[in-house]
Amino acid sequence: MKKRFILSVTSLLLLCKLAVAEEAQPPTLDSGLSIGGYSSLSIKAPRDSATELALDNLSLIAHWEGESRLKFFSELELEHPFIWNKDDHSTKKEANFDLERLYLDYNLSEKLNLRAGRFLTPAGNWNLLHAAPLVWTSTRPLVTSRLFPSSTNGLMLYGSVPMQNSAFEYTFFAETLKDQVHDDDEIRFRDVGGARFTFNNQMNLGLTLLTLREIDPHSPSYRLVGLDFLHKFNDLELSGEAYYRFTDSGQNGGGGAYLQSAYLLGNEWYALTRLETFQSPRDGSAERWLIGATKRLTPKQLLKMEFVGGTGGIPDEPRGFITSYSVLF
Amino acid sequence: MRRFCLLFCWLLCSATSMADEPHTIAVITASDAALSASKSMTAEELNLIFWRKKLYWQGGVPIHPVNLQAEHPIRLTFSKTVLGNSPTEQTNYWNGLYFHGISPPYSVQSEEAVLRYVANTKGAIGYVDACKVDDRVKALLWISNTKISATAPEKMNCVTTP
Repeated sequence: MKKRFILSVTSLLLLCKLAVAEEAQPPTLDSGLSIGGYSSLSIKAPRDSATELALDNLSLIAHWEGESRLKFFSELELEHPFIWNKDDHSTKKEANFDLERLYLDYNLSEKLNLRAGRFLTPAGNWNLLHAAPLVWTSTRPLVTSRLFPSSTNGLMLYGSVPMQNSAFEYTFFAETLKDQVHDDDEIRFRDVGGARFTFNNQMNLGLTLLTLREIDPHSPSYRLVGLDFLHKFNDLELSGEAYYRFTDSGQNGGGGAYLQSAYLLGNEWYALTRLETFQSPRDGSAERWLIGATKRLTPKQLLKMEFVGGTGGIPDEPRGFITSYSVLF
Repeated sequence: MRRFCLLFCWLLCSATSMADEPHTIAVITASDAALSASKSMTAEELNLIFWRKKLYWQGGVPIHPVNLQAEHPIRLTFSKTVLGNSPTEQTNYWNGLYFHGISPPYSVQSEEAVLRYVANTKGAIGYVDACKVDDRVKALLWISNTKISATAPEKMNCVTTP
């Protein structure tokens, strides 16, 4: 009996010690260089053109941070390396490399950082998180891609300030070097500068203020004001952005908005809806609605299916059915 | 003898259930850290650090926050109190930051691993059960009953494990 008692107590104590035995060694800091990226494969069935299967992009992200105040970041994207067209069974290779981002960050003080190089234009949520594995839909809201440049070459000052139960983030930036390489379908801008302020409370509110011109020599100088938000109510995520662009003389220079909902159905399936309106002197006006479903396969993989309808023909933004698989690695 | 065994088991179970009660959590940095500014840390600054919005201590030393693994009860309490949601609800956020070259805090398996990491890594900050704070680290803030305080609570509810 005594032996059994000692055995029982020993077993219990061993169980108690299991947690200690599971200890992980503290991670050691490596050279500070990290490499990752993302990719997206899609099938597009537009209602007025042939179905296409495409490897949309393959992005390589490299960043370095040591024990100093300096950090480095770069993103090189291979765009459209493969497209297969169903109607003529042809494959197209429209591949081109795009240097999306390349910059150095330097910490000036606790609340102030300097960035120099090519960075994403700080305008709205979507532009700053546009990678396919980070957004709920395969298609991008029109208003987030046609009123301002997606990237800017220049200088940026940014930082975060703690506030009551939230944080205030600020960004000021100015273009110092014009874009050297362009896609044919890309709207080109110049003299870009402005600021973005975000208030990270429950609503995640953002305010964007920009000045810019289109590269066309006759383009007026534009001012742009944008508001964005992202809010979660239990299983529902609501997000939206609205922009209004006007000329120096106060004339309408385009604008629009989108409102999107993502509702968790269960088992990592999300129901999606989006309403959009858009108008610009260059593209005319368009309205879009979207209904779809997205499955989060893993924290870094999304499978998306959506149907886009609406009015107005915008190049490269067709209406129809789109499905895609995207991965962050 | 059987009665004694039963009593012993009951005592062990009681101790275990007491251990499951929410304890005070201490936010810690290395005891010899040259992070004088951290002496006056606020709950808002702690929030920014663990959201990786604040990346440097005053003086330019990079901040290295360390988390317990996502299912650890102390991680869950810390996350809910300091960040306002659970680790599983933060997936989108961390993916977004990864896209901008910022990694989430390191994650380790046990509180002893947190203590060792914080003690041995310049600029590190972590959190453990306040009863486990020892000479290797110093506590900056205490989290108890969803409140974050710069002063240690009078009653820690510590349990001495066998």
